[in-house]
Amino acid sequence: MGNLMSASFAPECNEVKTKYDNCFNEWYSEKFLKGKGAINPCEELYEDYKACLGTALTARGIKNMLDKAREDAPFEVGGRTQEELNEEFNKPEKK
Amino acid sequence: MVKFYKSFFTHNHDFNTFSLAYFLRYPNPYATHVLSVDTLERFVDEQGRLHTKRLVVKRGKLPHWCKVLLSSSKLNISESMILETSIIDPRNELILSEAKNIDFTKIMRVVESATYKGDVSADGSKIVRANTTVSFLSSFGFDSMKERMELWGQRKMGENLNRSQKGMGYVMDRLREQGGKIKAFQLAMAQEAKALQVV
Repeated sequence: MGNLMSASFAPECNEVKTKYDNCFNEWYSEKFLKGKGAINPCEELYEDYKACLGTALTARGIKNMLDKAREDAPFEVGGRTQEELNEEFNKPEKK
Repeated sequence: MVKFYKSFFTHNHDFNTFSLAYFLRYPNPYATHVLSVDTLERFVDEQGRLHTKRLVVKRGKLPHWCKVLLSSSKLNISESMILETSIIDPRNELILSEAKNIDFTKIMRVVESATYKGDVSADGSKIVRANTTVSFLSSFGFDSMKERMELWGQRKMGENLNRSQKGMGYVMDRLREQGGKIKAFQLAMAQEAKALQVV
């Protein structure tokens, strides 16, 4: 069943990723989106997956590049902030 | 100069289905260029919103003339990495999403910001309104080259967005068929993928 989901960029992390993804998808669809999901039961699985990813990102030299990209505040690009994006939805619908 | 591409689109599915498909959309037949998706960071904030950062690796597409120019360099331009940040707010039926490339930023920075809002259409059916802005900034070569690169990106974006909307639609249709049950959905997707390979 492993190939049903998208793969990890690091093949050695596929197994832990699949376990985590299955857990997350279940929680996300059955709890979170239904408004009863404050507690995420997949934390332990996520820690395993993240540890594997961390090693793989460093080994492949991607980590520095990622850290740099993450420094930029998201949702404030193209001159638009989160609030401005929201405002566009409050405008009357264009015909 | 930064170039922009704007798009408004209505998805004929409810917010829940859309939100499910948002994380399950890869792989799909309209996104065969997506090689991998990894979750780098994830947490729920005090307001009950889910924050996620994902690393998406895609098979890259650069214009032919750009490849020629880069062929002398050691850059591997066959793959490109994208950082996708999202905030999902189920109470307000709102998703904020941003995707940007993290490699080849010297050639071009592409940032796609989108908001997805659950709504009800005039006929009473539940829909999701998508509002997307993509910005292109090239710092590749001399000015006329940058301009050419940005215009190319802007032109390609219409095609790309159209394909990703189709991909979302495809995933949402399959989800709806399976009553929103993920395991059944994944099984159906796998069977279809197999059937496609045979053909």
